[in-house]
Amino acid sequence: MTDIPRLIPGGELLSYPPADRWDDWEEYDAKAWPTKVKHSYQLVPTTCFNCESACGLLAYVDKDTGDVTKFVGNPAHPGSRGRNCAKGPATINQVHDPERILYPLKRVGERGGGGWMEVSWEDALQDIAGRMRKAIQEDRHDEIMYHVGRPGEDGFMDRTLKAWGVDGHNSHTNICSSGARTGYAMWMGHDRPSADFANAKFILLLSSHLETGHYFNPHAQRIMEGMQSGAKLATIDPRLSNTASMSDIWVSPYPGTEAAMLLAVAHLLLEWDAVDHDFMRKWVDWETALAAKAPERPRTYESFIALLRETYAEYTPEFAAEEAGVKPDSIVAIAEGIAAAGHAFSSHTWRSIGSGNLGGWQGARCLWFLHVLTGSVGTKGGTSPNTWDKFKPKHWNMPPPHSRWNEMLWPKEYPLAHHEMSILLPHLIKEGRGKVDVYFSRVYNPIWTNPDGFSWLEMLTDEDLVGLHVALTPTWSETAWYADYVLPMGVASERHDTHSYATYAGRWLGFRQPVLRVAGEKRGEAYDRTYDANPGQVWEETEFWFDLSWRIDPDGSLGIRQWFESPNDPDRVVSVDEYYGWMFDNSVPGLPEAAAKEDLSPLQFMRKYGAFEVDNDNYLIHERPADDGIRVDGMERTGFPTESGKLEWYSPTLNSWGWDEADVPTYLKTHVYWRDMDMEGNERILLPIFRLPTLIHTRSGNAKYLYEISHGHPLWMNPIDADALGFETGEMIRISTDIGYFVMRVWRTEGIRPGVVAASHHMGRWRLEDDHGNERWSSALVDIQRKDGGWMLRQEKGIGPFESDDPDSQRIWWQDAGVNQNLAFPVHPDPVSGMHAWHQRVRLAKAEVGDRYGDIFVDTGKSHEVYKEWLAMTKPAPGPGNLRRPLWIHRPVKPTPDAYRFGD
Amino acid sequence: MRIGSATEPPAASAAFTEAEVWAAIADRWRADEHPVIWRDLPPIEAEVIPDADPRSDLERRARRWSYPLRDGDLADLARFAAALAQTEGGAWQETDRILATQTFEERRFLMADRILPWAVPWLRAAARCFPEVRSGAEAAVSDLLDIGERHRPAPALSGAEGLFPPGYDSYGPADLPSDLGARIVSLWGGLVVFRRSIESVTGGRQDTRSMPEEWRDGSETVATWYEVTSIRWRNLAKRYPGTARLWDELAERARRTAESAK
Repeated sequence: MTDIPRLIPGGELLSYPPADRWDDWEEYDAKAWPTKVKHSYQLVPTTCFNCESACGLLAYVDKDTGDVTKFVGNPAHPGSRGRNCAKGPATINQVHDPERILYPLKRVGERGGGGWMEVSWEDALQDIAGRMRKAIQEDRHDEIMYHVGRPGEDGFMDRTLKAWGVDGHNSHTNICSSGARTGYAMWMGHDRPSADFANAKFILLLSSHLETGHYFNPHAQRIMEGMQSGAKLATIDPRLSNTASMSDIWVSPYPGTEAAMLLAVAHLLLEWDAVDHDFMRKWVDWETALAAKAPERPRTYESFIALLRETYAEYTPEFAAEEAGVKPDSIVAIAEGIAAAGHAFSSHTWRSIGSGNLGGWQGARCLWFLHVLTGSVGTKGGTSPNTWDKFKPKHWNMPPPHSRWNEMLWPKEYPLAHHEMSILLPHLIKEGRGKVDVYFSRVYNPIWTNPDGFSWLEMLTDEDLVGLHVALTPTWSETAWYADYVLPMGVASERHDTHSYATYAGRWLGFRQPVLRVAGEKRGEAYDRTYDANPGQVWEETEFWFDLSWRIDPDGSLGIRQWFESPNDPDRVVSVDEYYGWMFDNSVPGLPEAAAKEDLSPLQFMRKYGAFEVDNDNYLIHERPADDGIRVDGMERTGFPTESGKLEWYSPTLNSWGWDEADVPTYLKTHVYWRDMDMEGNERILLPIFRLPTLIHTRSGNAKYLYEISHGHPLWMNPIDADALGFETGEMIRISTDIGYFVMRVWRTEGIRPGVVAASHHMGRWRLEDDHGNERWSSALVDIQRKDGGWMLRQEKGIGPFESDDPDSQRIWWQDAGVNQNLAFPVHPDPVSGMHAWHQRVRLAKAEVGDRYGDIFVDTGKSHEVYKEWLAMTKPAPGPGNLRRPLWIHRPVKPTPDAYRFGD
Repeated sequence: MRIGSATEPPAASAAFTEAEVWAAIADRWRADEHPVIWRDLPPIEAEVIPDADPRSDLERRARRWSYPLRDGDLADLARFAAALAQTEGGAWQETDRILATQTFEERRFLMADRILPWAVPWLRAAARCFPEVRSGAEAAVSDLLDIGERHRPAPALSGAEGLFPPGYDSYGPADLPSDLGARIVSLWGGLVVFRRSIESVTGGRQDTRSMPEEWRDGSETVATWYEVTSIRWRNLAKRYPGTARLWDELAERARRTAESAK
């Protein structure tokens, strides 16, 4: 009888070209079918630039034409492992987009008027650098601002701004993740989690934000692995997302009540004693907590547990269920799943409650509480601080920190804001707190993306408030339209960056690179700058910032040039090979050795593979010995970067900065608390923060594949609400906010809970000219007028076919560009985290005579009033020690400690 | 070999049963069992289709499962399929759904890409040319086609739904051999032709497996032979809809060969 061998599954992806053949790969031309036409390719790895997760891509460079013909996954990338979501392969659309900007453009005529002329890079650099030099020489450093949407690289701009001595780093974080970051940071110092999904037994997601539409690919593939190994998935989300639909448990609460549910779970875990007491005793700073919250009690761990039980006694499942509008059984089921999973409980929240609600940052704090109780912190199948699973290389020749404090970014009213108060810039300027002389918007589109976009429009069109606006962008955007320079920057395959993100219990470093340049250099070509290899004169930011910095200080008198001089020849600017060569030679453990095995330099290794895994199995790092750590169990251990070195259920920081009512994990009432709303009438909660998995803010407007998939923008409404208000699917209605209204169409669906309506924030692109100024694949032609003391945006024409070099542009069959709802939202800065609370209290009514789909009306005067209402909730600095901000909390481009203190 | 029991999940039992079928094929079609046939035309895809080179593909599939690939003949591939089915059955028993579905998928594609398209034609031809293996070959054909019905890797479809018959890929059809002589020694002509087949048709001794000189300018005999073959493939396609696209494709190739022989 035949002997049947035992099989051992390998698990690796084998459908990819092997790396040793990437320089010489042959494939047939799919478009030549049925004729067989063979093409020779160089396959060059790079990194996707569409969402943050930085998945690996493999670019096919045709050897005959020199063009990039497609992108597939890079199997050598440890995070994405050769797999991509739709946004990765769609990079090819972005490269060949007939609408893209290929040359530096300078405004002609008034700002926002739509007149442009091509200029040389040198002229643009000299003009911008000259203005910056003057500002620095006149000690107006704070008038230089760099506003980033999609960070491409950890640490690079930190270095650049330090070299300039400018406290001008502005980010999108306060419309994104400051809420969750604050919640996590107040527990453990680290500001985000890293869930070990693949090894979990129970997974809890608060909304599906990352797992559906942002970290969709690297996280989702590991959630699937976990589920295939038996893990249960629970999703708390008012909306039936893709992820919720695949979950074992979907709970749909009123927005903002999630913290009550989580505390009810904590209540049950304490009641069942499903608590890892060894972990708690060692790693929670319970002594300080007892001293502050129950000083009369004995300073024993048992007293602390008793305090917890009493603190959360009221959070019964019944109470939380009533508060959240869900069934108590759902909460009990989640608690049972967590209790059974023990150390193999993983969870994630990023936006959801944290970005939707006043006090939403407590959502992350309450969620992390469950990990602390169960000891599933840093365990296999548990959840770690993300810094354990993210590798940060050192940058070459790092300048020292500056000693400035920019109050336009870090106003005293928000001392605990996790990131810059970017959303307030137009209001701070309106109040006369300052102005901006040189404003860089870098792959960022605040007019469209931020709340209250018309206030941004007003600010950007006033040259007395913003002296020079430089938009660094691969494509047109609503904000770039109001720039003085539009400088075309490369997409994923046209630039250098390094990056690393938490995707599993290990650390990797990815390397984005300009693939045509790399392919050409392998063939023996030489390039002075990346724009010599890229399409048109599309540049990369690394070289742009090098060359701009050099021109700010050409003779070195400002002390800036020294940081950009080549280490091999101080008379010329550092090259990208020198910069990254130093980084890979000196700061990536194991990389030089791995490269040497293949007889490559570390830079050559990264150019060949595009990524390197630094380490894995990174569990229980807080237990590891450390010289300057916290003493636990008789030895110095790594611990956590909080003031105590331990996990802080009670936060002395929150307490001492005036937030004693929120200094332990608790449930704060949201600004859209459902009991305060007229649900019997036409008030509802608008949930405007869900993603479409195939789009990514404004960056995917230039991807025809993606818009062919996603091009609808309905308002989700439960039939119970639709019946009560008399709305049918497809009917146009007015959605009124505190500062205006917008007009959308209704979609009746049971995928949203009653009382809540929802619309994705990924739709609603617009342009002011028919043939340029934004992507015609994705934008509507609109007209903007002053009306009734406000702004009126009206759609003139939806999406339709257009003539271009790409025949697909004549084949466009979709029409709906959607509605830029964010324009009609006032700013809602949370007084603690600084996070914009996105959810809106809206009133729904049938569209009025004369209303058109996509109409948006906004009164920016009212928006400023709302800003002041929220400003009144703050508890301004100084805090203890006359500080502007606690020294220990993370801050981009962190200045010297003396800058933290108010002057006399 | 692991034998299923009444308490097993149905999927495990089905996999174990299929493993036994594959194992039996592997056992009965070893090279040392049939030296005469092997000398004429061995059951190896690259021999049956001289233009095909499946070795790298087979090595890739085998490497994924650590299967010790031998010469890639029918027995070797049947042994690989048996191992996959055996592993699938065990995985269902241990509720390892990932492994179970992976092995099922791997086996389905192995069978559809690398076994059925040429092994069924080879076995059917062998059954006609070598009376000593007729019953065994017909049984093997029946077994393979029954497994094909279970997996349904190539159903008859109305259009280009993304499935491709042998000789096609997403870039279109493999080129037909240009001349009749090349077609006759390749399955791409629509039929597996042993040296003994040619002797049978010509009624004379044939030293090599190659086209006789007298067919060079066309042959009514060959045309009829391939026309009948085409009809047989069409009939087989009707009886086995789960693999019909494979046989319809061979029917079309045989028809074209018949035309070119006229």
